[in-house]
Amino acid sequence: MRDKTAHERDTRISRALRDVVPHYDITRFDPADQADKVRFRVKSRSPGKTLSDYTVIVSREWASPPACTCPDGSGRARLGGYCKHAIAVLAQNDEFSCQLIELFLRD
Amino acid sequence: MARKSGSMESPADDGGLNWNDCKDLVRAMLEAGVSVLVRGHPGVGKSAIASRLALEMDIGLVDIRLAQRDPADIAGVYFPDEGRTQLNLLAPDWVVRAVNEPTLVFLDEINAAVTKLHQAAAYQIVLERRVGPFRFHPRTVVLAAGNLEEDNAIVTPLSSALSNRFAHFRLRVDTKSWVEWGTDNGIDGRILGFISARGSEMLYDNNGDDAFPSPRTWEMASKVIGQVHSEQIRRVLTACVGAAAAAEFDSWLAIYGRVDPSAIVRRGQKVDFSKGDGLEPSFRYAAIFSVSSWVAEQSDLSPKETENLVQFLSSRGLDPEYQFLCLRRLWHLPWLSPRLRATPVFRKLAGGMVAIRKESYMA
Repeated sequence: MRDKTAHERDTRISRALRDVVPHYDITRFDPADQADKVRFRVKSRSPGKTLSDYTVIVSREWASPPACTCPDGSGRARLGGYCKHAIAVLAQNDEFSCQLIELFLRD
Repeated sequence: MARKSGSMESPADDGGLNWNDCKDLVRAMLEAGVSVLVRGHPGVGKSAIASRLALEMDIGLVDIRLAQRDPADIAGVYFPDEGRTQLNLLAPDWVVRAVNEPTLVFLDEINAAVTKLHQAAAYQIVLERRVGPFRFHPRTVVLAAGNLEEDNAIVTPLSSALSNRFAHFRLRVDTKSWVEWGTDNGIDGRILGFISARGSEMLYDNNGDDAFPSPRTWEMASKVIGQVHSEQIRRVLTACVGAAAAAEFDSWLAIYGRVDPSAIVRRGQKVDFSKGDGLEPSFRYAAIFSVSSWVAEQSDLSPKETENLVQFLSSRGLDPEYQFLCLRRLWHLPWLSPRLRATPVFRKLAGGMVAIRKESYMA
């Protein structure tokens, strides 16, 4: 039996790369009032998924883990807020992809 | 003893659960009101599951070693009332706790040499959650543990009636979980590196000798090897984990001694893992555990020392699995991870490590 946390992480990353990256629009915003944060709008392109429109906030200086407005991001402490939307955002942006290493230091 | 070098997993894994998974599943069972019996080799962490769960569930712990208790310690004793017309049960102190407050009642060594009286008392505790008229608090839970029959431990088979009242889990010897636990609980880095390098066959080997390797005896050894001169380490190890393991550990120490963590981190000494000694898994483990243990003893690193540490992690020939192993040991240091995050060369290294992992998911 594989370690549960590692299994959960692998599932989450697979979903991010398979479901989110190809099927969601990820748009970056740099809010003027928050120099240390970067916002990403993550919106599904599928017509049936009208509710799949979330905001991922990334710390520019890696001072805190990413945060997402989706239920999974705020509700599951085990992976520290790394929902599939946050993982997809980080994986797509070389500037911030280093932050994903925290996921692999938990297993 | 044939050993696998560089192996974190071992064929000695016998189909049971690793420590973390076992703990989590036991907790789920207990919270659902189901009593649990965990079996495993001696010294693999069954009691530690009880202690951890009591902490996690924020309830008290009552640890009852059945074989060392008189049945009256478990079931109480009857005494006559003032009129000498009736017998009343005088409850043991642990029962009072389990009645008055949420408690994890841990029946350890439940299948050790216990009598039918012990089993009868356990039966009432497990099945009815009470002792005589004293009914347990609704949040009191019952966890039992026992050794495996093949371990030369004295084992009394449980009656089918008692056995059938438990959910059963088997805890396996798990190197990775133990090294993680050891990192958090101050086990000597030389021992953790040795066990990581040699795998679970060195973590547990009930070879019939009086002293044999087990998580418990390695923990015992860890407490003393820092207190004795280097020439006494082998004797101390022999007393704790047996002669064969002590001899192998002695050889390991010679490898470990070839690494100078202070020179690596303070002065930026480079290590080349692509040739000579650096190709040997034992040397790689020695380097990683030596450096990470040395860093863990510090209270801070200067920016230059942090860069030197990253340089070590980026050493030529050091495979990602070793980089991750080292980083996992470092990351839990609360003062170090913010420093690493703020270091540009670390971000570059981390980005590269993530890219390699990402490719494996894409594939």
